[in-house]
Amino acid sequence: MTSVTSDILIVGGGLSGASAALKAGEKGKDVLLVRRAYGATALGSGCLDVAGDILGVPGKPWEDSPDIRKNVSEIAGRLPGHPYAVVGEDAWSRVKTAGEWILGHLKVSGYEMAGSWESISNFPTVMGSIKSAAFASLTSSPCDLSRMKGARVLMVGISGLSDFNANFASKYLSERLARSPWAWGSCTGIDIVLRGHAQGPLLSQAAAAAMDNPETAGDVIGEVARRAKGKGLTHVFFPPVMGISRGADNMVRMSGEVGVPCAEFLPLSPSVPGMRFQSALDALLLKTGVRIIQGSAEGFSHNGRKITGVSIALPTGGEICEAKAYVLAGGRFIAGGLRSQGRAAMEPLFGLPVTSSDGPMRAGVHVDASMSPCDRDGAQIFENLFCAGSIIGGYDPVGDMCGGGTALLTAVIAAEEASRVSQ
Amino acid sequence: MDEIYDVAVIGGGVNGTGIARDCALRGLTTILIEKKDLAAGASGASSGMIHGGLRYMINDLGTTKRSCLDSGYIQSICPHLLFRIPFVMLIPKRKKIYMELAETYLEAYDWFAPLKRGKPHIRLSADDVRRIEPGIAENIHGGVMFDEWGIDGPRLCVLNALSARDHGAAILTHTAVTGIIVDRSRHEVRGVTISNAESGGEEEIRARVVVNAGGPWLPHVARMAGLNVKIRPGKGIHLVLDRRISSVGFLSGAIDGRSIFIIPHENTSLVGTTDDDYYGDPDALSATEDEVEYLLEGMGRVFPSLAQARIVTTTIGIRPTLYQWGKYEDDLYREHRIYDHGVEDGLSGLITIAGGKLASYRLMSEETTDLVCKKLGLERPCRTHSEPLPGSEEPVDSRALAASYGIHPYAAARLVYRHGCRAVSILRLCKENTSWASFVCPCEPVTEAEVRWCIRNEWARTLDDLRRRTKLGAGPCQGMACAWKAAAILADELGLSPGETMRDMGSFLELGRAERAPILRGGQMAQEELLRSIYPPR
Repeated sequence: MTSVTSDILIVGGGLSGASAALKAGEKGKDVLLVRRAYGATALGSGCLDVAGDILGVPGKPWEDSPDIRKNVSEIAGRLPGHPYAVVGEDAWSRVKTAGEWILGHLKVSGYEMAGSWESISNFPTVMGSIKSAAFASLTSSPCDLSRMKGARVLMVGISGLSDFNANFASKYLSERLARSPWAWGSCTGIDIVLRGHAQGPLLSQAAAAAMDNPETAGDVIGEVARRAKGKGLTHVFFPPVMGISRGADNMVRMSGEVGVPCAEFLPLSPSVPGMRFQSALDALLLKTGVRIIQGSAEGFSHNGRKITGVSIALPTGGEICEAKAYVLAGGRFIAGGLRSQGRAAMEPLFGLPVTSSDGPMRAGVHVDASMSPCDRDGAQIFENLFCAGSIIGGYDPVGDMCGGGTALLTAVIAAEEASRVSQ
Repeated sequence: MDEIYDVAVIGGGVNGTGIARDCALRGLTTILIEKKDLAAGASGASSGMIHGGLRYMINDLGTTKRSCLDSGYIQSICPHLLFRIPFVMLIPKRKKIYMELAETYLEAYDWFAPLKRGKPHIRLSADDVRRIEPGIAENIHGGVMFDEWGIDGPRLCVLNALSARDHGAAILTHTAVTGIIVDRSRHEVRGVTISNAESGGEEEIRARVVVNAGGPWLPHVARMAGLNVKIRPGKGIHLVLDRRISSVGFLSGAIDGRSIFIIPHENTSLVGTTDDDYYGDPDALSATEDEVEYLLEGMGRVFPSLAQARIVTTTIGIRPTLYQWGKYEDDLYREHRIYDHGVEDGLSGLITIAGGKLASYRLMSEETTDLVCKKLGLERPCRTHSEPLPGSEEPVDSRALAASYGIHPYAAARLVYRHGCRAVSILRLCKENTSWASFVCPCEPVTEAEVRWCIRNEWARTLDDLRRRTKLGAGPCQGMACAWKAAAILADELGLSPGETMRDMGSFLELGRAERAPILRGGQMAQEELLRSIYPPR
């Protein structure tokens, strides 16, 4: 086994891991990041949620509290194990600081998101459900349901695209919104044909890849503009296949030619927008010189309460990484950061105790305010290990609608603490 | 309705549909009324085996012989729907003598093999067993191999119902029987009342004979006529794995000595089953963690790698076993009984069928229909043992179909498994609209064409109905990729509002969560996390 050293080793390459790596790099640390496979970030919808209304009535998002700051307090008040509570008083402003920092970096790197730290936006998904978020990529952000009262909407589907049914989604959404303060003026669904893909079933990835071709995109955008002309439309929705690398560009182009805000539906999983977000994070990491290892962290060595190394399995053999501090950002069950053995959840790399006192969907490692894992009595287990993201327990990223905000908050804290310890 | 039917059958399980078929084939005007969906009760939660009744041989030989005979008949009327399941009865090292006992037992069982096109048993050494299945535990002395037939229970019910309809029967699903019409002065049953979904009121269905094939609900139905028919409801669960982990079935002993099994079944493996007296509501069934642990522990003794296997869901059903006081569940007869209420209770025109097994449905249906005909003063011969079920009229080559319609051979094979030669008609739908060849459910490659076919021709009205007919949403994804797409197709075919179908989708997902609650462990947790992100519970 070969050996490699660094100041800090980050395990996990999703939003939490990548953010922690970037922050530590900014503090002048020599950072190594090991990642195994795509997890929740790549499989997600590419949005950033900070805090939803956990007291909200299901099915009536217009009645939910849109005040993110208030929602953060509510979450911290009701879920004492939630990172928003664990960090103390100023969770919201710390999330905002971390968020502005990462979005700034992403924007410079070519991936732009729009939204607000104060107020929640709402977006429709391909199946017609409504998802709330603080920030969404520019391909989705132009059409916020909470600001579309009286809208005259066009929903564009693509013939043969089985992941989206324009007719169904348009009827379902307008029916749902009809008796709400977000009710639309009108909604129609049309289908267009993607050149060269008229026959047979079309998968989302294939459609998005086709849209990366400027001629094909031009055809599609032209067709949409033609069909939208003279109808007095205010908004146009498109399936989340605007392109793999040219998604945002195509969306801007479409809005320009059609003359009204155009947006992609939020996807389900797996999705093109999720991949775009992950790719943007990956590009950012490469730019900053963080060393990336594609492998699986399997075991560790320690000297008392100090971790001395982590062994990484690679297709070509193995590697030991010796670092001064470690950040575990391995995700939850999807990515394998937690595993379920029989009915008990466990953390397979460091064998950290896993709490699931708030139910199986809030299972994870218990941490203190510095994001360091601790035992049931609150005593720190290792002096140079920190956690970030959904490996931490006490919260449900989906159910509490706070996955993105929590990931960023905990990643920045973990990176700062790891940097401090690795002096 | 002004018509007076010859026979009204209450219940759309395997017996109800089997009886409706037999009656219709014999030229009786028939109506079947099912409160939920075909096979929504016990018939949709069975072990899915047309088996010869191996374990009843000692104290219930009649059941074994009749089961084997009828297994042969069922094979000939729907050959595409049956698949052979090789079984190994494992003999532990510390009980070597059992090898001889088991072999002798199976030698006796061999006598019945020709009836069901079975193969003679084979004696296996420990090495033989390990060559067949390397995952078997160390402490095995050897085994004895025999075979049974597996079948898809809900498909069997649907095919029987299709046959009944093809011969003039009326089939009503999602329609509850609200009462039995009794003429007290003449002590006779004149028909049933049903709730009419559209008008919201009640409607009378007149029939000369009423058959109560309500399964776990048969006491409830009998009470509508003022009768008390007792059953001993036995709850049973199965674990459904994400894939086949073995192509051979194995028997093991659970902690209480009961025989449990793991079997390859279509494209999955099933672990089962339990048998517990059940006093609760048959409409509100759920598996418990205790039952799950019981099965995993018992099967894990001989199949240790089961602990790493991923369970994707549970099936739960109630056996309407004949009533007997003072016996353990396992010792109860699996016999069936036909109650002629005219003779037994002085109330003519009503028959109740209780007990039995999936494997003996055709026989039970024949006996019941014989009695119906007798009451109507008719003598008509039974043809259900020789008349092919719909889809079995001619053989069909799934590979040839795959090639000529350009679909994946596996998808074609599954389509032919479910529909036999009618798969051709389904594939022809793709010529109408090429996008209908897309897979709605990727786990079980169900095409949009098949979904539309089942809605148009097989009484599918909800996602759960579609799951029973095609296994859409029954595999590892548990509806993740397919639930909402199928909902959109239902809305299109049935002219329902999107809101209605999305509400159905909500119940379907909720049902899935309840079925999975006791098996949230291991590899399934990642899927659960993914499912929640797509369909948040709120």
